[in-house]
This record gives sequence, structure tokens and C-alpha cells, in this order.
Amino acid sequence: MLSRHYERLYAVCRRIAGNDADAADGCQEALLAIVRGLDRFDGRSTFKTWSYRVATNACLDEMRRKNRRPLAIIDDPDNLRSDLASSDPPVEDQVADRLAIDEAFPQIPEEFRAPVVLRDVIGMDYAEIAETLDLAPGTVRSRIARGRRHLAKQLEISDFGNQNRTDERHKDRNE
Amino acid sequence: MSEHLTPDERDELASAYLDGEADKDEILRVENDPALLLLVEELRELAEQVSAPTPGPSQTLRAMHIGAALAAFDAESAKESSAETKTFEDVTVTASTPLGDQSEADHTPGIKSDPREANTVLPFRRRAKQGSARRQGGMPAWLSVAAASLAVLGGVSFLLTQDRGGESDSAAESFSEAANPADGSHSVSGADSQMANAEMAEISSQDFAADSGTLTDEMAGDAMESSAADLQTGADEEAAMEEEDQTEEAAATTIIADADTDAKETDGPSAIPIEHFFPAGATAEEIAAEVDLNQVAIEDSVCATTFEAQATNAVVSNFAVINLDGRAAELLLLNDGRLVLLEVPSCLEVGP
Repeated sequence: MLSRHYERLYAVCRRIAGNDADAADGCQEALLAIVRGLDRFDGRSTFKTWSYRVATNACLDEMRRKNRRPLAIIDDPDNLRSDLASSDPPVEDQVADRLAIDEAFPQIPEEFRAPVVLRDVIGMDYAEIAETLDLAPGTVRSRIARGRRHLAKQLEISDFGNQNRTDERHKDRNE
Repeated sequence: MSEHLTPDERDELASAYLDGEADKDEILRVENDPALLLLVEELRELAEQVSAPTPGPSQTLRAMHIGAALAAFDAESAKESSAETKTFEDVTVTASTPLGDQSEADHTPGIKSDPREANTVLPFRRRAKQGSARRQGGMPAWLSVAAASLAVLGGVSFLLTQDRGGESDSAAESFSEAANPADGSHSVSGADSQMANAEMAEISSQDFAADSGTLTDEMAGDAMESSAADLQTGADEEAAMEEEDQTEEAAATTIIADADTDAKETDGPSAIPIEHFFPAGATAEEIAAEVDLNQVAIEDSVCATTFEAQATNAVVSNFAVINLDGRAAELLLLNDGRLVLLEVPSCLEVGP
């Protein structure tokens, strides 16, 4: 069961932590938390939902414990390059995007970070996220929106969603 | 139009639209508002960046993480097993019948040999009346009786040993000192410990104890504690002797049941609370209420159901049929170290 869910649990931790080293520590803590908490798994939610909840909390706890801002670390740039080689945009752009996201993501407040990760990394719908994080669906909706707003701000998309800018872009497109 | 919305509301609306979580009205609103549609596009780009694959863990790291987690699981199981042992103070194993040793279990078709794979145990139904209360900490009368009997027997044995110049070990002497009541009406000698250990050693000589040395040791300890407690209450020797007779009678009726080793392997459901009672009289419907029927073949026969449920949940390394207040019960030792107490189905052949 751990094997089956490992990759996605790691992906959650990776995104929450922002770098491989912290993701590894967080993921380890998450797995330990899962096996130690198995007897508290009451079957009311699916194992997937429950394990993501445990993993999310464990990773956030680990990040808090470290009490430092995660750094964007690429352990092996060659691997990263080969990972990205098959995708369409230029590798350099992808690396830059990834580094930017890695750096920006951990700066998002925790309460917004976890819903965005579960939505965009895991692909959960709002109801699943609500169940996983024990939140009301309406809260999930607003937190995801606000999380994305924070992320845009961190990525220095300063005029993200700005009405004037949006109108200009709309105008450009029409032209 | 979006001009009437606050920035937060616009973000939320566009975000929900992007995620397919907007309702009909909201969809219409977004699709009729170019500004909102552009915001949706921006959010989409952002979401794509977030969802872009991150570097995956190396195989080494993966193996290390999972290995560590499984090791932690084993450690937790061992801890639970140890804790469970303490809750079995109400169980005195008067005889044991090995279902087969571990190697046998390993080769039994359909029985999982890896405890990590056998970590799912169905929620055996807890006995409604006496069972749970007894297990939760209440000391059943018959155990007190048995413990007192053991103590008395031990005392007699000790006196005989003393007459022969026998010696007690220092630990036993310490116990004796600790257990002696102030009024000295009864003394618990070190031989009690020897006695209890001998009793347990007898059990240990059988396969059951081969896998549950810790259990027997702790049960011996529990028995000694029980006997000390009982003697401190000042129960008179005569009563204890009568009770001893009852215990012996009960032991005589201890049952050896045939083990059904042809259990079939079925994937059990995900981890579920363990170590509950599953009463002999439970019907297939009752069991079905707690068991995923898609994963466990439930048959009409209570016997079949019981063994099916056992077999699908874990490897039963060994079991002992014990006398529990005059009723037969099975003490199962699972190969991951956990213990389960079950009532024996009436359809099992039970004899004195």
C-alpha cells in the first residue's frame, strides 16, 4: 500500500517543501506517521484521503520543525535536464519555472499551500480536499483562490488579475 | 460583470471555474466576462506550473523510506502485541494445541507468510457482555481462583522444597518479601514464581509458546500479581483449595480442537482495528456488516465464516483452545505477534 501511494505522497511533500532534501525528510516523516497512525484509521474516509491528510500534516510539521525557509535545491541538474527534455517548452524555461515555483511555493501560508498542492499536484476535487483537510468545501474554494493569489505574488506576477492589465491583454488578443 | 466583484471574489470565481467547481450561474458569469476569462487563463498557467512534475525520488530513497516505514510498522506491531499481552490477564492457558509451527504456516497454501502482508485484521466482533468488560481490565473470578490456587500450590511446593533444603533465587525471594501481607496470614513464597514459571514452561514446551515466550512470561507475571493480590485479601486456604479443585476441573475440560489449515487466502480489507471478539454465534449477516463481502467469501456455516475470517486476516502461527469461564475460546497468536481471543464456534468438535 505504501509502495502504491509513495510517488504521490512524495510529490505532495516535494511541493510543500520546495526542494528534494526537505521533501525526503518530510516524506519519511509522512510515511512513519502513516504506519504509526494506521490503528487510528477508522475506515470512514478512503485510505488515499487519510494518507494525504497525514502526509500533508507531517510534511508541514517537518517544515515547521526545521524552522527555516526551504531553499530551492536541485540535487542533480543533469537528471532535471533529462526529466524536462521531453517536454515542449525550452528546457531553460522549464528549469527557471520550476526553480521559481520551488522557491515561491513554501512562502505561501500553510493554510493556503496544502489545498493548492492537493488540487494542482494530486488533482483532488474540492470535496476530497475538504475531507482530507477537514475543511468546509467553501473554505477550500477560497483558500485555493487565495493560495494562487499568494503564489502569483511570490512569482512576482505583481499585476496578476489586475483589471487594467487583463483588459489590455484582452485587447491585444482581439487585435 | 466582474467590475462588481472584489478582487478576492474575482479570484475565487475564476479559480473555481478553472477547477470545474463553479456552478451554472458562475460559469455563465465567467464566460460572459472577458476579463474573468483572461484571469482564468492566467490561473491555468500558474496551475500548470504547480502541477509540473517535480523530480521524483530515487529508487534508493524510495526503498529506504518504505523500508524504514515497514520497520516502524513492525516495531509498532510488537509494541501493540506487548500491550495486548497485558490485557490478557484474564486468560489462563490450561492447555495448548499448536495449529502448526511457523514453518508449517509458511508452507500452508493460501496462508501468507510475511507478517507485513498479513497486517490486516478484520474487526472481530467484540463480545457484547462479559468479554469486553473482562478484557478491559476486570479480573474474572475464575482467574483469581486459578491464581490463588497456583499460589497455594506454590506455597505447599515451597514448604516441601524448604524441608528438603531447597533454595529460592534472589528474585523470587524479593517477590516473596514484597508479596507478604503485613499480617502474615498468608505468605507468597518465591516458589510461587517457580511454580508459575514451571506452569508456563510446560506451555512453553509446546509450539504455542515457541512463538509467544513473551506472552507466557508476562502471563506468569500477571498470574503472580494476581495471586499476591488475592492472598492479600485474606482469602482462607480452604476456600482456595476448593477453588483449586474447580480450576483443575476446568482444566480437565480444556479442549483440543482440530485446526482447519486449509484456510484460503483472500485479500483482506485495509487496516482496521484489531483484536476484537468475534462471537461463536455471529451470523454471516452480522459478520457481513463489518466485513467487506467483496473481499471475503462469507459462507453460511458459522464455522466456515469464522475460519474464513481468521484466515483472511493474518497468519495464525499458533493457537490454544482455552477454558474461559467454562466456555471454550481460542487464543490465537498471529505471526506478527498480535493476539486475538475468539470464542470457539459451537460447530467445532469440542471434547473433554
